[in-house]
Amino acid sequence: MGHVADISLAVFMFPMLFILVFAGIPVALSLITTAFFFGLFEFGMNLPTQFHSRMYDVSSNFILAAIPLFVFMGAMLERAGIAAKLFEAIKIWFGGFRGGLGITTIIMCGIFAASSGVVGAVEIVVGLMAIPAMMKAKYSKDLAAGTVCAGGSLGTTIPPSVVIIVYASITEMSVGDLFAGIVIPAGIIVALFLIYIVGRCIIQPSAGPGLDPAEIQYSLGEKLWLALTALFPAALLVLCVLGSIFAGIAAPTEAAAVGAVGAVVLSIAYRQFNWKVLVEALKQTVKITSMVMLIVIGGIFFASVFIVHGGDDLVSQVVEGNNLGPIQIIIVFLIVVFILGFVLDWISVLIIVLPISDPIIRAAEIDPLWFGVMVCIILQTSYLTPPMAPSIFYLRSIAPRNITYIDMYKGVAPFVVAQMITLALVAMYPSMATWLPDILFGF
Amino acid sequence: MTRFLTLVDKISTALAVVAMFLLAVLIIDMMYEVVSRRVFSAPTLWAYDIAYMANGVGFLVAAGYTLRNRGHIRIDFLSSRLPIRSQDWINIVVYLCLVFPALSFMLIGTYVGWFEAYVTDQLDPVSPWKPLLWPLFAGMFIGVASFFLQTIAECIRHFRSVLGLGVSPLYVSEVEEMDGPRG
Repeated sequence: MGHVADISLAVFMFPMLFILVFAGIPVALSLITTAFFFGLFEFGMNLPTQFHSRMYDVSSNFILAAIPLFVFMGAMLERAGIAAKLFEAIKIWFGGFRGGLGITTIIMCGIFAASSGVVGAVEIVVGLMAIPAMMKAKYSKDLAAGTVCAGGSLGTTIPPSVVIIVYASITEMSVGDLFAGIVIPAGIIVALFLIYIVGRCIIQPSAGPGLDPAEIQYSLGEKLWLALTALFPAALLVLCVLGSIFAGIAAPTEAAAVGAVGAVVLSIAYRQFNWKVLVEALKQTVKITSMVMLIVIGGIFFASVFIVHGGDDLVSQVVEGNNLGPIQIIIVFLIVVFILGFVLDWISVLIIVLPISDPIIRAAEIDPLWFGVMVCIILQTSYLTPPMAPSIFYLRSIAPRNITYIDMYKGVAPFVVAQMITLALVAMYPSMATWLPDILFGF
Repeated sequence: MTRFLTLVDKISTALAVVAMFLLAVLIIDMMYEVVSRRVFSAPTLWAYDIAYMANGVGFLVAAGYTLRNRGHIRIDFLSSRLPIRSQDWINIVVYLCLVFPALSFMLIGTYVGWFEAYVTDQLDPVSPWKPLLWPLFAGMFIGVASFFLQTIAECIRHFRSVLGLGVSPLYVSEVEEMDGPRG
């Protein structure tokens, strides 16, 4: 029977994909070539037309146009030196307390993640400032390392994140819903991170001593002025971007454009704007966008060929055959995402898992929004969890030698626990994910 | 041979500049739409179409430049333990057996799509502005063609590395580091 043969072909797609990926072939090309190889069996000489129409689907997707805009916004803010300003401004408020630099780092990452949305970028930018500062203040190495990794991981979840835009466009969900859904869980994550840092420093004062008061000697007026000029504009920009999406005033792509222009305005106001800064930001954006979008194209090729070969039926048969209930289905997919997240970048994980999981989730009448929020949290956890943690590889590239891998593993462990607690809370109380979108966009 | 490689690099860089220009167009276009709709209550018919076309063409024409500058994510924690020579061979084999045939199909597909849209004056089926589609398709074709060229250049570089004539493109130091997301 032809159909049986088709199904067996779909089974071979993943092994081929993973062999190529782990042989060090760019992920986008691995996806495209696997889709090509297996697509030949089904489409033969119609394959070029198939490729063209899938490419047209991606190229004509208006939502995906938000990606370069958000990436540019972050790149511009980064080059406008806003990160350094923010760090200073927050430091003088919290630096004097025990664990103050840790608090500063997390808050700073929260704001910067919201204004950049690019995983990894946040960690590098913040780590370059926070690690030397914490080392100088004699923080214990594991706390310093863990804080920077954890802060950097916030780029995955805190909206507007590129992760969520890709998620929404693959599953044809509303970006606004997903942004709103992740807000409360992300808030809990940040709160738990802060509780851990403060708690640890209360119990073990030597882990995170407060800064020498002389270092942060500012009058109240100066403090307020710094907050007003450094913290306020960046926070306002983020609020405007997210607020206009949540208020239903602007589509995500429009809000992203406002954010992009706002970042340019901010850099002009800080007298950091010049031709070179602009070109560098544009160049970086173009590269990141091209990387992300080419994987999206490859992923869509791959998924469409997989489905044509009956791969989706195969997966649903496995689900039905094992009598998996909604909860087991969720657990299985979350574990798959978690494990794939160790070895693949976030976008490849989404592009591989979602086309398969989404129909099954919907068929099992699981709320796709709730599920999506949990996937984002688990992706972030996967980014943090040793030994195969991208966050640790980033940190290694910027941390001094005397911070060892052991320090880093020990350092991130409590933050991973915080992630797990948040995931458990969202799993037990789905309304944590659905309540805000409900009242904002209503049903 | 090196002249060919330099030429391809120049083409890719030139197209990356085009992509940067398209990004600027995207920003200005969307901003214009927001202002004209929210402030002057005069939404444009065309802003959405310009936006998706700028993005849709931009990322494709920058694909070659991104490849040259190692911007496309590779999961190399396993493969980087192999000798560079073996890695070069893996890349050569995959380029020859899979990448080139796959990209040929994409090239044919985008060319036919462009050609048919051009001769039939195909219009965007959903947009109220109903723009002609062939400029978008032409951009897609140019993007795939230039990416194809750059993959050929990369493959030649791998060959030269194996023959001891040059550095492997996997470890070129003069190209700038990728500062984007990897995880």
